[in-house]
Amino acid sequence: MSDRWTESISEYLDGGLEAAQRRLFEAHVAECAECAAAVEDLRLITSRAHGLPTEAPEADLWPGIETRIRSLGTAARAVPAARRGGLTAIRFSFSLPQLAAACLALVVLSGGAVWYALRQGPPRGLFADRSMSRAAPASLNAPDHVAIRDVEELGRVLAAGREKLDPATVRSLEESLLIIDVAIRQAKRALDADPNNPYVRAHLDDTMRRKVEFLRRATMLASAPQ
Amino acid sequence: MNEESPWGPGVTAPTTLENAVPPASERADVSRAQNGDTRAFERLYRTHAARIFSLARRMIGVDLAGELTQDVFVRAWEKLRTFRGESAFGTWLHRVAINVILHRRGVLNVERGRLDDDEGALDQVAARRGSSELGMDLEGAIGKLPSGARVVFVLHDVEGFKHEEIADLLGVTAGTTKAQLHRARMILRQHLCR
Repeated sequence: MSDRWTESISEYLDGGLEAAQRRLFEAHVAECAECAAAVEDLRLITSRAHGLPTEAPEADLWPGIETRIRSLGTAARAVPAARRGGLTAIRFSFSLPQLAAACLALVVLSGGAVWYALRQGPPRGLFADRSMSRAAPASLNAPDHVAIRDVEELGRVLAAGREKLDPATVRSLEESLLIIDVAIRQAKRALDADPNNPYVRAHLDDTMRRKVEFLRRATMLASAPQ
Repeated sequence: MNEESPWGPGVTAPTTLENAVPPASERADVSRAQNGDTRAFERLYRTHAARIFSLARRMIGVDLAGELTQDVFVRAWEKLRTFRGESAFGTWLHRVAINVILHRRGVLNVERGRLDDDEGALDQVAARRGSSELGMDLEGAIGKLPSGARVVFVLHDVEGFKHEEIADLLGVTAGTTKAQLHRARMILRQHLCR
């Protein structure tokens, strides 16, 4: 069995070979037991794959879905509320791509700073920040809750207003948010590995704040009159 | 106005779904759900959850399948007004599901650098001889395929999409999907039929 024939097996089974190629292939398979076995094996696999049964999830997922779709209704009402707050009067001094680029650059730079700091070890001497003691005070966790609540609320408002935005802008927003989310997850993983590290904690808080700020700006854009 | 196609023009429904004829009660539930009836939408969920869950499990893995199934139905609820009934609801939902799942796969790719392409992972799946157990083994083996080969195998051999459609969905050429499919089948053969 040569690579030449092996590579043709799938095309043959899927009916993708030209008539002349097909005849050549079939003539080879008639004489090559190895290729004939491979054809039969792949035929069996494709046939079984097509008939694989569906399987219901073990847990009932509907309650979670229902909660989420009901919250979408709340978000739809939240957009006019944002407008009433006078957000539409604000003029932006940056375009969205500029804002996204700046935000991402800050996330990357601060991530790099944390990486550098981690390589240097814990703070010492004159440059040690007393507010960042090894045992992180409980108050440091407070911004997490605020940020999470803000992110959820802003995410709902943005979801409700996304249809007013250009699809390319929405895609750009989603890609930027994705990168910020990845940075947040990485920071959380780093914090899990080293829970008392003040640099990682500060980086996580900072990245979450940047996400909130980014969402706020994007929400204002979505709420702006067309 | 044409019904919005979540995966763009030129991509048709997989053959396995085109033949499905939805009952009148389902069409009525779709209409009610479009008007905000969550009980009707729940009935649609009950009808289609297993298919969507199985698709998610095969394409991404069991760990995320439940969460992704929820995401699919939430997304479907958001986009329900764009459904014009020109195809079966199940076909439309399937398209939404694949987009949601591929989007999540993209997120995972970013998070992990690239998804691992470790063919050796298949060795962790217990192989059995005999075709009667091939179905069970096949599920486990699909889950251990390298990511690119796995998605193409599921979309082509399990879901019935054509190469051109898969290529459009993944943003690659049909030649690439053909190569990935053949690779997937040969890896599965090596594992299941040895």
